[in-house]
Amino acid sequence: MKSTSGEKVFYGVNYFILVLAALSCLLPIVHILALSLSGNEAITLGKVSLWPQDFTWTAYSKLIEDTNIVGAFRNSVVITLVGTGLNMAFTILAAYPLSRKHFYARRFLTLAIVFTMLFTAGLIPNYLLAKSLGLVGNYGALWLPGLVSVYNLLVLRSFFENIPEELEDAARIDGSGEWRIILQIVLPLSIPVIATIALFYGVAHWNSFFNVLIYINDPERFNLSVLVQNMIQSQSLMSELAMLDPDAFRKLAPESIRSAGIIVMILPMLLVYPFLQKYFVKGMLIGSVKG
Amino acid sequence: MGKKSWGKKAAGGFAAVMALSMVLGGCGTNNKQNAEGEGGKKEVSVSIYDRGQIPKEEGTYADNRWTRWINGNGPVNAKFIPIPRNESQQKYSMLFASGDAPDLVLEYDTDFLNSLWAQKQLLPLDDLIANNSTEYKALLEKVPALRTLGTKPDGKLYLIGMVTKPEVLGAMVIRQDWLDKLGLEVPQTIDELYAVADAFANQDPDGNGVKDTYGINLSQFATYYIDAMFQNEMFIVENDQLVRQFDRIKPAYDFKKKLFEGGIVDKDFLSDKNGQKAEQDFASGKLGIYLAYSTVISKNFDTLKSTDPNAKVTAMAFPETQFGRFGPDFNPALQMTGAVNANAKDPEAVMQYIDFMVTPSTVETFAYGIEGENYTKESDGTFKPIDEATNETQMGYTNDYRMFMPKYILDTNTIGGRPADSTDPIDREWIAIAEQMDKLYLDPEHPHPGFTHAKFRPSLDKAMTTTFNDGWNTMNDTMAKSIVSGDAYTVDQGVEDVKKSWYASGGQALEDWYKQWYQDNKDSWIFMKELYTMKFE
Repeated sequence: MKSTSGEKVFYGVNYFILVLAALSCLLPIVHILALSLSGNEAITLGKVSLWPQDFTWTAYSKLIEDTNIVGAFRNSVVITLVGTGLNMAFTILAAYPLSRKHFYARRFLTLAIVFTMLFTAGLIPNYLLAKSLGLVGNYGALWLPGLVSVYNLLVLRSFFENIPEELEDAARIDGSGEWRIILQIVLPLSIPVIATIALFYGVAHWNSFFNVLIYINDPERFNLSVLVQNMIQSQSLMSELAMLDPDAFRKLAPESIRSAGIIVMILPMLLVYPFLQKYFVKGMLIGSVKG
Repeated sequence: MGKKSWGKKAAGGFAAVMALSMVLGGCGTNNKQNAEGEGGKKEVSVSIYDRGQIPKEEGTYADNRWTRWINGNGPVNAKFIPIPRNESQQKYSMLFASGDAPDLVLEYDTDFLNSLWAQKQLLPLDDLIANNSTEYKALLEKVPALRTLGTKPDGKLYLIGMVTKPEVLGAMVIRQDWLDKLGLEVPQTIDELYAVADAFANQDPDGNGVKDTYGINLSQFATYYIDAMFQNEMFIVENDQLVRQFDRIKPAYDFKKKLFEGGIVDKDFLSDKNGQKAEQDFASGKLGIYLAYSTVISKNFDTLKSTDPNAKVTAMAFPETQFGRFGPDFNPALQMTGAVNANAKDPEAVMQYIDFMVTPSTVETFAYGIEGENYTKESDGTFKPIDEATNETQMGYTNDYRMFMPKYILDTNTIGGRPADSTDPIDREWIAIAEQMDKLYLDPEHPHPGFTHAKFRPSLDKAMTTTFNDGWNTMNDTMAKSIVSGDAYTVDQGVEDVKKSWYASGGQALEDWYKQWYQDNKDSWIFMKELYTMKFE
């Protein structure tokens, strides 16, 4: 098929704009990567842009030796894997019955759940609640309060509703019970949306910063976000507080090490995204067409 | 059979997940319980900044060789609560709201400590010190200013603080080799400063035939230092009155605007918020006069020397203006750094902890380490480090435990952040510059403008704090606009707008309050000059 010159211009402009948008996301990451692999002097002199100067791995070896980044990485993985596992288990278990037409009081329960979206308690009530439940200081405070996200629950529920009931009837005639239906019929048919929602939950857990800061007191149990944030924010803090807190300046981590921390932090997500992307688009779309 | 086994498997899976979360969740609390109650000493909890920079083999900020040393040698068992440095105030607010705040709260931001006081979260210390303290009591007697500054408007003492030696903070350096090359002298007046900066920018001092040099920087704090040369502080003492001045704004900004329009400063200085561009310019030998923290200059001085071994740098005094001759901001000898939680379970034990930490032998241990491990004592009584690198690993993170220690009793073995006995030629060169800075910038004849140091301004209520901060921010933002806008927005217009917004946001009330406060406190408060002349020995 031949395209007209007008179409060519249209596509050309489109590609141009999209490439610009993509570069504006990509270049900062490339710059940070280059910084993390460059010598300190080249960085100070502003020579590093997109390609490392005085190539060296010292920033990474220092990061591993001098900070608890390995432990923090492990904590992040635990928080993300266990957290996402729990989220998925409970979201599925809530969404499935709500999607079945024969489920008793399904309308009322759905409304009651949606109703909770209208309110959020403030930080301090949440903290007091977590404290009275004995969650402060352990990861329970990160996993349990947001165990089921209502938004994700609704997306999943509408997806389940779209699965033809005849499939379920057929399975039932063959003698399968609810557990087998959900595990062998419903879930395999819902992989796109499951992957999408798992990604939502996973990214939120991986990036979880403020909750860790507030609920976790033991530095051994901090995750990557807190550790890396501690290193990089000193810079912005410096201008205000260096006068009051000279140490903030003296102990400032060199830029290369901070950049290395950022890379370690974003790399796992960068690696996971491409594999989930094919589900991602599908899952978002299907969930959104019918509400 | 199928139905049942599925149910079991699924249930088993969930049970496993839950059990895992219990195990992972539970272990933190268990560890802490085990750590308590060693040796039957009393328990206190103490905050400690977590900067995320403790070497892994040393442990954590809450548990490392120094926390163990404190608990092994001190009178009480201290439990350290890590406070992420950058979010310290949020974390403290949370801990106070939930009743989990540490007994001893250490925080550099005195405004935040003031707000805790205003919320009645702090314990008055007068009786506690009178009845239960020996060391800190002695320190208060020796340094009465600590009591003055730690006392709140209700007349009671709430804050504890540290005593150091005054230190250079801001500095102004000039490329001596450029001066020599162009046949110029170190500028003494503001007009000479302009002439020299102009020559640096336009007469190719680096001799590469390209106009690629800047005379002076205006980024980050540099703009405030130029304000300081013109005494452009919000509140100054004039004719024995504390007044809000507006007449210094114009000359200071006329000067900055002239620098900008003459192409003497980096045109993009406004976007160089953290001064990084200026650092690069200085380090790569493109900047002639550099205004920054002396520690920043020191760091970039090394790079400058390696890019251009012939570069020569001199510290210079702030030039004289029609308002007099002033100095850069400095680190005064006193700083209030902590307070006791009003709900501390055992205030006496907290006092014991404070006393232990300010005892000279503890202060020495935290400065030099352990004898035989970190240092040896020379016959003349000086401390000689055994291995610098080991000490850096083992002691590089101890500063936050020392936040309220009287460090003035220590003999310093560094000058300008470098070992005083270093034989490295670049170190020697910097040490000479640093000694010059001490002489120039810690001189009571040329103090930093303002009635007192920013750390020691009287506590204001919330509305007045807002007025003060807004006034400061508006002035800097509005006037910065006037620098870069040419004729479209002149300095005079800027000053008018600054005045207008000041009085629109309650400036008059603040002026009246300050005026009255000054009349009431001018004999008892600590003012700028005193901060330079204080002696404790």
